[in-house]
Amino acid sequence: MISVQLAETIKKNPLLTKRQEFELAKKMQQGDLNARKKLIESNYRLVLSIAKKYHRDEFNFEDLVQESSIGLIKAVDKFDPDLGHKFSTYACWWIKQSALQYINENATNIKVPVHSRLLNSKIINVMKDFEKEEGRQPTIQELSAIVEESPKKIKYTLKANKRTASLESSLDEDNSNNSLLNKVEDHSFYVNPEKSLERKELNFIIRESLRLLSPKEEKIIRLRFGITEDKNNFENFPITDEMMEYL
Amino acid sequence: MLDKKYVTANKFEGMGYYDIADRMTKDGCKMNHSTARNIVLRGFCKIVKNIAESYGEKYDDKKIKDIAKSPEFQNAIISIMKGN
Repeated sequence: MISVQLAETIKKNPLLTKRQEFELAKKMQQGDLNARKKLIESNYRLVLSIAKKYHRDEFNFEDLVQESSIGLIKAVDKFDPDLGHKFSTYACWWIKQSALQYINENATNIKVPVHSRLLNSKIINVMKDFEKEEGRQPTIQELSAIVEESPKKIKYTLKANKRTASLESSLDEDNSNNSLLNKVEDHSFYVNPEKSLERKELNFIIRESLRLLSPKEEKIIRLRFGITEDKNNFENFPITDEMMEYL
Repeated sequence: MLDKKYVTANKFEGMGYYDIADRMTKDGCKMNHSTARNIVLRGFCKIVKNIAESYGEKYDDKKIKDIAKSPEFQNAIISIMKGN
């Protein structure tokens, strides 16, 4: 829904002909502020039409229209009637740019640069096309070859553009208690005391085992793996997940 | 074909066996590179044996050596010794 004021402005200002646009733009160039105002108000329809295209549920439509209007104002100020183009042809790019900028700034909680977001959409489209043709997901190397960007950049872009979700958000519309938080696994000691005790026991055993090394063995292992004397962690070392899985 | 895996010293910014042998020889403990390698392996074997015994398992020497040689085991022990 748009504001009553905007609706009235649109109603009062019918579409301009190319000739009228030219004349108003010329007057505006000579400093006529009324001509500028008229040119802006007569093109709100264009703003609305573009804003409707870009509108998604997560954005406020009225805000999107306001931001897109900034693009229209920029277009009016920069329009050169002597080039012979129709105003709407020129203005639509400025309006789209403003609308996209607003979307980029408000789409997620984490702001991602426009170029990264554009690259992300490109990668997503490539992935969809690839899946249609090959029947499987492309690898990072394949994506890198198609998009002509390094695998590192592709990985980084996909990671940076992941959508975020609130832990408090409800998974079930009817049941507000069914939140995402309830689905996240709790790794704390109190939930899995058995595993925690096993880990403690293994910690103790490994510590004891390391004590069995003779000074010569310990020294050579240190030299071999670059463990300096001041990094003696035999007394208080943690058990890594890798170790736990292996044993 | 046998899939061979190794733990390399470079990954841990450590020394090669030849350098270790030189260093130990300079420090008064004469040895060559093979001895240095055998001592590293012997140290890991001790650890494997003790862990196995603690869990009531009795492994033969071959199995102990296989585990001690495996990169996964060595990486895990090294990361613990480094405190990572």
